[in-house]
Amino acid sequence: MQSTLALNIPHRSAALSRYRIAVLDILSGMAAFRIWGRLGWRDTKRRYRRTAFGPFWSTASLAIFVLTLGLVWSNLWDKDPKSYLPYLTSGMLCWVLFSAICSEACCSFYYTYEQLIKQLRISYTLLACATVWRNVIVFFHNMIIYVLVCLYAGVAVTAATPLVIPGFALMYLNALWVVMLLGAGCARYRDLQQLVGNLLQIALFLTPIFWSVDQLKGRAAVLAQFNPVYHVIALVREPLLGHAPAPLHWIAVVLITLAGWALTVAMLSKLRHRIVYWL
Amino acid sequence: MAQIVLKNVVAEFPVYGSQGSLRNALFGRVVGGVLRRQPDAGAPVVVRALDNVSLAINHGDQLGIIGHNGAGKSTLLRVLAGIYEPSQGSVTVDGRISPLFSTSPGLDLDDTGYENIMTCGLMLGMTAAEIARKLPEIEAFSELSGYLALPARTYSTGMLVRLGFAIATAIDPEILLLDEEIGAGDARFARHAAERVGKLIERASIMVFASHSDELIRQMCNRAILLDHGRLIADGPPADVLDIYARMSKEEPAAAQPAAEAGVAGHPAAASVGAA
Repeated sequence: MQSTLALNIPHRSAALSRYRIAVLDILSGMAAFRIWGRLGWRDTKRRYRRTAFGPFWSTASLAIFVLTLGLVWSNLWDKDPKSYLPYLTSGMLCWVLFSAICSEACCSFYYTYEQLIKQLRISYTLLACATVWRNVIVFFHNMIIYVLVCLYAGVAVTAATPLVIPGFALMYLNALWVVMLLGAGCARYRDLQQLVGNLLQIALFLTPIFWSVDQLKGRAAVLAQFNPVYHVIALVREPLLGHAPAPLHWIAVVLITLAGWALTVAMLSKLRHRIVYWL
Repeated sequence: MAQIVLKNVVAEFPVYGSQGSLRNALFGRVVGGVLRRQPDAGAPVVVRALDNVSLAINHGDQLGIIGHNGAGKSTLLRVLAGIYEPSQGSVTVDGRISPLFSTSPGLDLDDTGYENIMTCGLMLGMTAAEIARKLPEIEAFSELSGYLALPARTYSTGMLVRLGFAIATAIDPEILLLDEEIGAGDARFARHAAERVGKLIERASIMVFASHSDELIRQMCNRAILLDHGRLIADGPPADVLDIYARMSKEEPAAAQPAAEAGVAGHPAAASVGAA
């Protein structure tokens, strides 16, 4: 019987330090796509069983939100709806993905996957992958809205559009470490979940989604650059709108990815063996 | 050859959000929590589930773990599985572990029987190809026939047990860890189950089984250990260890509290029978 490493990480020993186990957790977890793919897909199915439209219900409500807001605010700010709507839609789609991942990350270890963690020596990264995958599936359902908006607004597919693929890949990589850190953090300190909820609310307004950076004046414009979520979203939004993202975005996101994963490896090395005791 | 060695293993569970000391609890009760001084902001209460356990399990051992509720049987199994790393001491495992603590890890009641076979099979470590190959045998053993195409929500508890059992016993284990939850369905199924578990054990190099049932221990094990309040107090042939357990139970009935940090209740420790 083949051993799926992600479900049976070797015990700590003289040959296998905590750091190596952490790395093994990450690599084997990501590699076990059959398992996390199935877990994520199954969770999506479960949420929408016996409903008529399935995940498209959330798509519909998002569409109404975006349409209404888009029309009202483009009017308020004297913007052309044909340029504002695609901007708002692509931004909102990314935001909904990010915010759903953060909220679900908080209860992923101590609630969603608590039983599994207590039954198997399972890779935590595998569980994070399942959480992210589940939300990415919903993201792809929501993309219908963007396609329709593009048809209406006449947004062209340019040479820069395929850049959305690496942009999205980077977003995915970052989502994974966020889930790992939040999942572990909230398992130990349940208050963290409340804090995250509050931060997400204000972050929605502090990130250029309803507004664009060029609307800001002076110091505010510079400050906005320090919002990490801005850069991650920009990497996906810009190609979707047909222009290549500025190099600043690429640099910022690569740095964020490296820093985030370094933190995660450090956390796993020190605390991986304690997480199950917090559940 | 598969092997497991435990050296001086201590497993402690912190209980977060607990009141702390007995004094605080009493004080709180008397004054209704209003006048209570700053409670002991410090370490949470710790439950010592395993206390200095040293054990070597070798190829061919079919080890039974017996003891009262709260003695540490399930904790020991989970320490062997690597789910709980000991706070002190070491666990060295040579070989692949197949933990069967719940017969259906990843069971989803809304999925059909077939879908659950695939999910649970994957979670138990089988590959998709292997599951496909063993599907006929799983179907046959579970005796669920047409129901497998229906959602698991429609199954009775007994049917769920049979399904989980069929999947779990289809694996090819090297080191098999069984918790006592291999409850059976009806009497006829129990017989089939015993046969199938027997074959499963034969395929394994090492088996460790925690149970309350003397009968099952005698049937399935060639060695037994007795745990009491987290301490290993006997190790030897099942018949002998079961005798010690029986004597111990008669001396002090209902000794079922888990060992708390302050003051582990002592038992007149039985002499350790020479290890097999």
